Amino acid sequence: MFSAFLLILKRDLLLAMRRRSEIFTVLFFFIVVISLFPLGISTEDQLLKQIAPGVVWVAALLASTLALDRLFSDDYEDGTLEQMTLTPVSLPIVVLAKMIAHWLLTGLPLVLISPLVGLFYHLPFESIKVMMLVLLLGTPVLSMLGAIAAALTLGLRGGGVLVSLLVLPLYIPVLVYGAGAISTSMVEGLSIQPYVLLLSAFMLLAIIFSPWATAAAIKISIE
Amino acid sequence: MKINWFKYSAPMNFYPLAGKLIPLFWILAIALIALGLYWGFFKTADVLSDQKQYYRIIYVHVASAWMAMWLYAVMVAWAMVGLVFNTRLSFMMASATAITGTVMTVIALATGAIWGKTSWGTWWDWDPKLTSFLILLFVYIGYIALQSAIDDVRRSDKASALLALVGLALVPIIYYAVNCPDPNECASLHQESSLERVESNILIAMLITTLGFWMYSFATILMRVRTIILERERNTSWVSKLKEFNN
Amino acid sequence: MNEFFHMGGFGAYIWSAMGIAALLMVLEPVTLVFRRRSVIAQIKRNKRLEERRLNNEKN
Repeated sequence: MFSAFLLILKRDLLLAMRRRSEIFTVLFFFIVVISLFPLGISTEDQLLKQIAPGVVWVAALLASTLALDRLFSDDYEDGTLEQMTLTPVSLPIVVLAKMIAHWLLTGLPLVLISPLVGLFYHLPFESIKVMMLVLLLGTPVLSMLGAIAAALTLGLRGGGVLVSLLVLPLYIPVLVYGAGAISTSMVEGLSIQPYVLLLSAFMLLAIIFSPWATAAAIKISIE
Repeated sequence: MKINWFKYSAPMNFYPLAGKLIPLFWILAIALIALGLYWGFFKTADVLSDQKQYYRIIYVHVASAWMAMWLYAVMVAWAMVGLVFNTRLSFMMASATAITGTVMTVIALATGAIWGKTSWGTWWDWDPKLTSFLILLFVYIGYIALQSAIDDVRRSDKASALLALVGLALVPIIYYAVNCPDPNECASLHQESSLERVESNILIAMLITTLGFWMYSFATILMRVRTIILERERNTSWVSKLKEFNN
Repeated sequence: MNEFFHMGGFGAYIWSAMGIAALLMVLEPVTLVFRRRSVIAQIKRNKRLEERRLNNEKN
C-alpha cells in the first residue's frame, strides 16, 4: 500500500516537472496579486503592515483555488482516474498521494516565496517567520479541502469558477486563524501558540477526513 | 391503522399526497403569520417604549433566521437519506429545500441589516451572527450552483448531497472561527440571544410567526417538489395519466 | 392610525423590513406557479405531438 502511495506521488511529481510552467504560473499569480494591493490602497508603511496578513492569505486562497483545476482533470480526461478506481489499492490512498503531490507543487512554493511578501510589506523578521510557519500549516488544508470540490466538479464546463465558489467559504477558518497569527506576532506580549495549535488541528482533521470525502466524490463523478 | 411510509417514497404516490397537503399548509401559514404579527404589533404596545418600537422587526427577522438554519438541517437530512437509501424522492426534497432556505437567509440578512440600522446605527456590522448568515448564504448558493452545473441528474443529486454533508461537517468550525477570531481571549462579544430575557408577549409572537414560516416553507417546498417530479418523470406513464393533462 | 404607521419614528424601517419579507415570500410561490404551468404546458405539447405522430403512422 505504501509503495503504491509513493509510486503515485513520484508519478505526479514527474508529470508536473515535464510542464514546469504551470507551477510558475500559480507562483507568479500569487506575487502579482500581492503586489497589486499596495498600488491600489496605499504605500504607507504602517497601513501595509496592518493589511499584510490578510492580503497574503487571500492571495494564497486564490492561488490555491486556481491550481485546483488541474488536480484531477488530466487524469480524468485520459481515463487514468477511472483505472485508478479499479485497482486494488484503496482510492483514498491514491487521492492522498495526489493531494500531497499537488501541495508540493503549488503550496510549498508559496511558503518559500513568502519572505518576499514580508519585504514588500515591511514586516519585521519575527512576523516573517510566523508567516512561513502558518502558511506551511495552512496551505495543505487548502489543497485537501479543495480536492473535494475539484473531484465534485470533474469534467464540468466552467468548473474552475465553480470550484472557487464552492470552496472559498470553506476556507474561512484557515484564513481567520492564519491571518490572525501573523497580526498577533506583530503585537508585543501576545502568544501565537493557540493559532498554531488550531491550524495544526485543522491539518490533522483534513488529512484524516478529506481523502475519504474526495474518493467518494470521485466515485460519484465517474460512475 | 398502519401507514406504509415507504409507499410515499415513490414519486407516483407522493405527488397526489403533496397536492392535497399544499392548500392546508398555505391556510396554516397565512393564519399563523397573521396571528403572530397581530400579537406582536398590538399586544406589546405597552411594553415597548417609543425608543424600542423597532423591536417589531424581530418577529420576521428571528423567524426567517431560524428557518434558514433549520432548512439547512432539513436539506442535509434529505441528502443523507438519499445517499443511504438511494431514493429519488429524497434528493428532490433536498434540492427543493435549498431554494426556500436561500430565500429565508436573504430575508434574515435584509431584515438584520435594517435591524442593525435602527439599533446600532449602521446597516452592516461584521458581527459574528450577521457574518455567519452571510457564509450560510454562500454555502446555499454553492449547493445550488453545483446542482445546476451538472446535467446528469443522478450525478448532480449525489454530488450536491456530498457537498451539503461536507458543509455540515465544516459549519461548526466556521462558526467557531467567526465567533472567536482571537483564541487568546475568546469571550463572545456580540449580544447573547437569551430567550429568557425576552418579554413573554414578544416571545409568543415570535414563536407563532416562526411556526407560520415553517408552514410556509412546507408549502413552497412541496410545490417545488411537485414541479421537479413532473420535470424528471415526464416520460413515465403515470404522469401522462394525471388529470392535469387530460382535460 | 397615523401613529400606528409612524411607530415612534421607526415606521420606515419596520415597514420596509416587513415589505422585503412579504415581497420575497409572495414572489417565491408566484414563480413556482409559473414554473409549474410551463412544465405542464410543455408536457401537454409533447403528448399532442406524440399522438399526432401515432395517428400519422396508422394512416
